[in-house]
Amino acid sequence: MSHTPGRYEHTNSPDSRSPAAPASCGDAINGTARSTKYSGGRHAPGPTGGVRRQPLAPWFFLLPFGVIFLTFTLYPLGYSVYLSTRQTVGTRVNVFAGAANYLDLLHDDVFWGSLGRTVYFAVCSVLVQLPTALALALLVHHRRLPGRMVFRTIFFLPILVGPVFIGVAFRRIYGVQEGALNQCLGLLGIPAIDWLRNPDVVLNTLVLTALWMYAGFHMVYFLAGLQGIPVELYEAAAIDGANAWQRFRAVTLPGIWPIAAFLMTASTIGSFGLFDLPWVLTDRGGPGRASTTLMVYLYERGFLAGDLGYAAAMGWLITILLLAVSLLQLRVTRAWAEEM
Amino acid sequence: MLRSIVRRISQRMDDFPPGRVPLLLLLLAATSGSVVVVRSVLPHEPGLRVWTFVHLHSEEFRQRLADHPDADTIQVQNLGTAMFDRLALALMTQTELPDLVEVEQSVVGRFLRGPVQHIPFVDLTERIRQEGWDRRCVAARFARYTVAGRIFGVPHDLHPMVLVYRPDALASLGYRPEDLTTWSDWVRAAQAFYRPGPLGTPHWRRGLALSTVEGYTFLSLLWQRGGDVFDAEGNVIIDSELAVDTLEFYVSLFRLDPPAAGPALSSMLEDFSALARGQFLAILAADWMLGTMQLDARSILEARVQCRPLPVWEPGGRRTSTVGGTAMFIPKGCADVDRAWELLKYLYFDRQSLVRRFQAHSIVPALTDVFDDPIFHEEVGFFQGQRVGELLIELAREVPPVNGSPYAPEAYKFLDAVFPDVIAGRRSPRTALDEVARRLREVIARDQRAGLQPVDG
Repeated sequence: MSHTPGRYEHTNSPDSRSPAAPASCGDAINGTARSTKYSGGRHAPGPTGGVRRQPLAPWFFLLPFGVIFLTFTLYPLGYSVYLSTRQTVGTRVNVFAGAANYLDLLHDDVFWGSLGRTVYFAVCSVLVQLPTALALALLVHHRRLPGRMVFRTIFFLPILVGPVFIGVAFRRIYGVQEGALNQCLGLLGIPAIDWLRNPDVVLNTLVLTALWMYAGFHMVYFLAGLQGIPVELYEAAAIDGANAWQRFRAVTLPGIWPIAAFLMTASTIGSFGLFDLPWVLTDRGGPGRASTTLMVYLYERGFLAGDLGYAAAMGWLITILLLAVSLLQLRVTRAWAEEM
Repeated sequence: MLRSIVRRISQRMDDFPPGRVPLLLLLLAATSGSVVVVRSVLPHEPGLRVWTFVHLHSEEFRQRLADHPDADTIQVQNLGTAMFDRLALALMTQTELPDLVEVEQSVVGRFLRGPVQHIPFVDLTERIRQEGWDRRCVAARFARYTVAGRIFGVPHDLHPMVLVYRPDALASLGYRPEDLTTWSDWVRAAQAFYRPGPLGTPHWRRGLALSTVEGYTFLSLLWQRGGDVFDAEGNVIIDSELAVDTLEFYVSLFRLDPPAAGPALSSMLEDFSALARGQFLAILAADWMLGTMQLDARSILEARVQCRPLPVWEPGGRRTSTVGGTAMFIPKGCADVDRAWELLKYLYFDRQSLVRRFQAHSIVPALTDVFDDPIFHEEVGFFQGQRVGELLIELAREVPPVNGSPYAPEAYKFLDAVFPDVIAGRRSPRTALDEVARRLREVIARDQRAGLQPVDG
């Protein structure tokens, strides 16, 4: 319902009036604690036709956030929509393109290929990272594990290292002849694997590296979930004769399910944003296109080719896809939760 | 007095309804925001700002500027490879622009797109021609930074290529390097060097180390033969018969029985190590790689390798090619183009700097005036006393021209995208290069439809 200037509502709460507002004419006339909440313009006539100033203080406090939100969120969003309807070249030239960027995207096999690789990475991230993180959390949650605080710290440490540094460091680990990983495999008699230059292997190399990076981070979430499960539930289950698996299935899993659902969604969204690892580790999504993810392709089109309009259109398409995937994921996880 | 003022301000701050801390935060935000706004609005400082993405270059410039009369007003900033994005943003917004900027040849195309009058760099054609720099430098080197006949960049380097090989290994096969002049000769020697075995094992040996995942060495070979991705008018010619034939040759090196080439390893240092271990007979290297080799692999390669011109495609053919390159540009927003141009020449064409650069990093300058310096004629112990500088300047005049195009970054990307499939035999060189050409033509046609093609507008 829209309020017109000068319209007012009476409330019974004495606290509903802003301390900065002057005493209302209504109060003066009625002599009661009833207050008047104005919803219209800056100066609004009171019930007797007098004028009352609208409190400015709340707006003043909202101003910094409003300015920042407008400048750094709404404006870029709006501008990216505008940009997605332009064809840009170089740094300062663009012309109206209508929906051409979106239509071209639908026929862009590199975009769909990149989407396929990103989905593969996302699925692997969920299926590999989360169970590993849960296993680590169960391990360090165990009261009898000596030095569990040390393990918690060690598992969490990789996330503190920047992805770019990880990319550089792991290039050495994945070296064909002198890389630590192949040296170890060599001791077991396994021939060297070209982790970074074999198109059939490279995506799994990224999954492996991301596992190292994020498993400890996700572990912390699971650990918080595990610590929130009342011990009495385990005791009751044990009294009922439940074995370790049954306790996990009936107590632990339902207890941490909200966290698992959150991590699944967050991991999926994070995977769609995967950029720095392939950029640094596999030379901008190589070999060929073997590790080109959506974000790498978006960057390539926007910043290497200078086609910011196309990149903006791609960004919006990815957003829509991601929204759809997240909604689907939420529905599925909710359905699973209800079944538990 | 001061104390009473502070007390009064303090009391006033207490009157602020949410308290002192929010007020201080607000004041801080307002002050810093104002500084940012004022900085971007205020006119450029009177000095000059030089941007580069290479540590080596920034150090070299600082060293050179020590003698400059206006050194205090010149700022050199090394922004790493993030510089290219920052430059794009600066050019887009026309704020915080440098007065001089170095750009690498593989990415420069992104700044050269669109009608020529919209290219964000100053057209240096007249200055270069009037002052004779096109005659004093290897003229072919300007081609990369030329669009529609206009020169926008001054080349920093020449980057001639040579073959770095193990003379002892070659001798053990019964070959004399002087007898191996053509690619066919080297293929024979490389085949004789071959030893089977899984990659990475000590028994594994390959004659030549060539990339199996990126097309840059193939392009070097193509340039050596006189081919290119684009012709001088900017038309796509990567699907020419010459290009297909060159790629077929490249692929055949891996497929011959026995193979003449093996995959280059995951880093340059790994290649150097494999060369030191006798797993590679030879690698193709540009001048700057010889510098890297001497800096980073001295302990394992010193006095164990020598350099030769690249094998020729036919007797009397071109004996070198090129890979990589950087040039200096003056952005159009520069307040004093004349001063920037003088500084560019001061930094790029100083004899002592160029000599120091060659001494430290083996980088051959594009300016041929300096080739008579004794440094280019010294024996180099690392290469068994060979006069490598002499070889490089001898090859300098044979460095092939590489036609510049605003679409070069995409060309390299499209080529890299199909390259592993070609090497693996999943695609023929013909179909792969046809696809690269098709994609490039699509991108160009898209710009043309929108009237954004790179011609004088």
